[in-house]
Amino acid sequence: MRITSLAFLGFVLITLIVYKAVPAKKQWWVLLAASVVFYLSFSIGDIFVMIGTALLVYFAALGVQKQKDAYAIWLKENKATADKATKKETKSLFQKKQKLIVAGTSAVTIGILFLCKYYGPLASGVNGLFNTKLWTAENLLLPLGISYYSFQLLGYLVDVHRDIAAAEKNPLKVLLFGGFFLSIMQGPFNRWNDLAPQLCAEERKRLTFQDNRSAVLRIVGGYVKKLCIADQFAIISNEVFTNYTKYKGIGVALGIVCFAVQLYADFSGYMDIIVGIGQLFGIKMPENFRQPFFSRNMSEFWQRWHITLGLWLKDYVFYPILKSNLFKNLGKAIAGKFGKEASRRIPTYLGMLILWTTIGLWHGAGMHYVFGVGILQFLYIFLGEIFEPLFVRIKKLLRINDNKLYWHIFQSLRCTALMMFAWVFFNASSIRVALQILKNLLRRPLLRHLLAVFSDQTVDGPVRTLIYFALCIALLIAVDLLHEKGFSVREYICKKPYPVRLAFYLLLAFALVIFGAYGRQFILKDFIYMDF
Amino acid sequence: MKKKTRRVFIKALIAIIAFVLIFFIIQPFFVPKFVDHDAVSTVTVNAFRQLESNSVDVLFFGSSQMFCTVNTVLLDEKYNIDAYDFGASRQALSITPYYLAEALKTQSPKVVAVEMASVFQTNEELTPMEIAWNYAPMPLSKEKVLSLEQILGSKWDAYQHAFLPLLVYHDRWRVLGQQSDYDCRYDFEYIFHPDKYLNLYPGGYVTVDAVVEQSYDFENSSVELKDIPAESIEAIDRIAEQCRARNIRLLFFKVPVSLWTRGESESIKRLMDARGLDFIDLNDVSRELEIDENQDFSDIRHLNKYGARKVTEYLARILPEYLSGS
Repeated sequence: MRITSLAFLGFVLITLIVYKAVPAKKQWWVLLAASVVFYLSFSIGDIFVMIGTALLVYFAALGVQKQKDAYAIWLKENKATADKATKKETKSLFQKKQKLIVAGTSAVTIGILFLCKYYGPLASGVNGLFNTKLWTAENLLLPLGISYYSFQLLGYLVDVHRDIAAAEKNPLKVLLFGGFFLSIMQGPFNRWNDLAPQLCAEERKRLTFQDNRSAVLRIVGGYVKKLCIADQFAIISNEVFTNYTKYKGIGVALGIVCFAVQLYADFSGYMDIIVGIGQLFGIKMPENFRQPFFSRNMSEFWQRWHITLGLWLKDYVFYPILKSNLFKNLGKAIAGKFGKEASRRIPTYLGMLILWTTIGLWHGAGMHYVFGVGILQFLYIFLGEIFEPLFVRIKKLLRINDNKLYWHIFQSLRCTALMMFAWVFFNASSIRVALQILKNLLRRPLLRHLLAVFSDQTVDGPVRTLIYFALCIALLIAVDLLHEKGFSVREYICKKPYPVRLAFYLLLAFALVIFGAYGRQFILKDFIYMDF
Repeated sequence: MKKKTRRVFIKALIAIIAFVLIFFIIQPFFVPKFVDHDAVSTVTVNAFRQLESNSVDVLFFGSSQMFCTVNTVLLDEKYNIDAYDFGASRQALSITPYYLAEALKTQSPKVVAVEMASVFQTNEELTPMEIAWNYAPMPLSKEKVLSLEQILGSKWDAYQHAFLPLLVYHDRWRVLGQQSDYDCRYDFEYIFHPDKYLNLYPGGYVTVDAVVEQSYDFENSSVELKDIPAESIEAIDRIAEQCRARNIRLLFFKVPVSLWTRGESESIKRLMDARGLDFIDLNDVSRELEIDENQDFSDIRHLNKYGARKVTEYLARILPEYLSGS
């Protein structure tokens, strides 16, 4: 069931009607049933992998909770008699058992993820390199949303272990948390404490008409972003990235810019649809984007782009690594030889390298992912920090004021250019192809290469298409600019009188009808992040 | 119903009505109007609809191989035969019964002649472009919906093409208003006022000037028989049925082209013989017609105006027999 299909809208509508019709206490059953139906619409077999993972995590969380409770009982019984050392030793023993459960469950969950997502390409690579005949898992399909629900469920388990959340006694609620139909496909990454209470709430705030209006507007806006912008830009970016040997200079540049716009409109459009639908159900989903192209540096970019992935990996990968005994010992060893500053910095950078490699790997098994949205991002941030003193001196020399608009624009453009460079690796089928595209980019930047992209199999009407693209980019920037200034276009429209709202709704609806990339003339495209 | 709920309901209703109204107002501007180098389907269809009722004696159906070959102007001026080429580019034979049904609403021809170039084409092979060429210029009717349903295999798709073509073809904004650029993606151009071109192709005949040498050797071509798709067989039967019901003489024919084999010809002959229907393959008489491979073709699929003249002259010799026999 494609999110861009009428079937999906019908499915949401029916679910919503049933959801509103049942008492609040029973509403989570509706969400669970809808999630199962939604998942089954993609694949029947894969749901067992998800149910299996959810059950495993459910029992593991109960196991962890049992250890915690057992320790609490022991402590209560022996509080007066046991000495400090015994208490510490017992606590450590119970914690070890918890860690063992968490580690074992993580190993199995990550193992399934590895087998389904990474093993096949890895084995094929090894076979190609060493002429071996390893099983390449060609019969294994990648279960829908495995990268999302695996991480999300493990997050819940870790939260139980960290005393942030209590273990859930009902396995179906854990299953609903992992497989919630609004986040199963491409996130956002939810935290148990944020999502589960909302999914299983016994009382709900009644939504006002204004809330519903705002939600519907956001959903329609999301579809406009996906169908009118992302999928229209995709025609050009797909052409350039697929037939990369054909295009040079400015033609390649157009393809790269189109992909950047496509990716942003595609992913943020999806988020708008999902968050808007969530709003109709009275469920607040976390935001994944905050005007990323206005970032001043790469660290800030990643705090504004795919926010929930970054935060999740920081909390559940980066900080645990830094706090691990291995890294603590490493810090101590470095401090002895290179001083305190180095002992702080080197383990942090090493942790960052692991974090970014994980982010790259999360996107896929290809080295182009690991490099493009992993190591390269690490290098951007690492080099930015290393050369920060030099940049400060240069800025001082050139009398650049950080608060001036022109400097902010320059910084934002620099960030965007760096990300576009990285996305060439992300979108190319391999590092070799990405390098070839970049090589072609530097060749003969003539205008006719721009028009060449429009010939043959792409689109007709190059001038109008380019004007349309320029308008789309201007619109995205304008809306983001308003949001950056704290002005919500949606809320503004929602407060306007009915005729104004109606005109705006009709404008969006006809934008979809006329400019939307749907129907027999277009090859329907899934959302890019669905592949991950 | 509560007052507030009633207000919301009324507002929603107004929104829906406004959307539907605007949709149907703007739709005609966005529906493709086919123009390419050689033919204007929209113009041909519109011109046909403007013909005086019951003014045509012979109606020709088929694809571009038909309307680039049968010179209806020559038939009229030299042989006094009122004829019209009522076809569309790449028209699958399964679409022809629909064109015939539409034509018979205003005309009572004595003879119907169907060109067989598309007999081996299946509905599955039809591209969105070909569907647009054949259906977009045609008026909305029950026959159109039924034909689309048969071609597309889905009721919803058929309704969309018939009633909501804007949902099917909405790429027009890229070229809206342009009339000169032929190099476009779906090989159809959009024109604002197709009626302006009503007299562009009198009688539906499209004159092709280009001369492209061909290697035309029908006699030594492959004799391998070819399967005729079930939808084409059904179309032949339906055409025959429609003509029988109206007492119209029916002739199936094939124009000479280099992309045609004796095996293909024989496959049709066997089918027609079994059904007692008339079929003339003009490739069989290409010597008699003096088809010149250096002069009479515009490409592997089409005759040019020189070849068209020779074939038309031949048809003019056999048509009186059909006209008088009806």
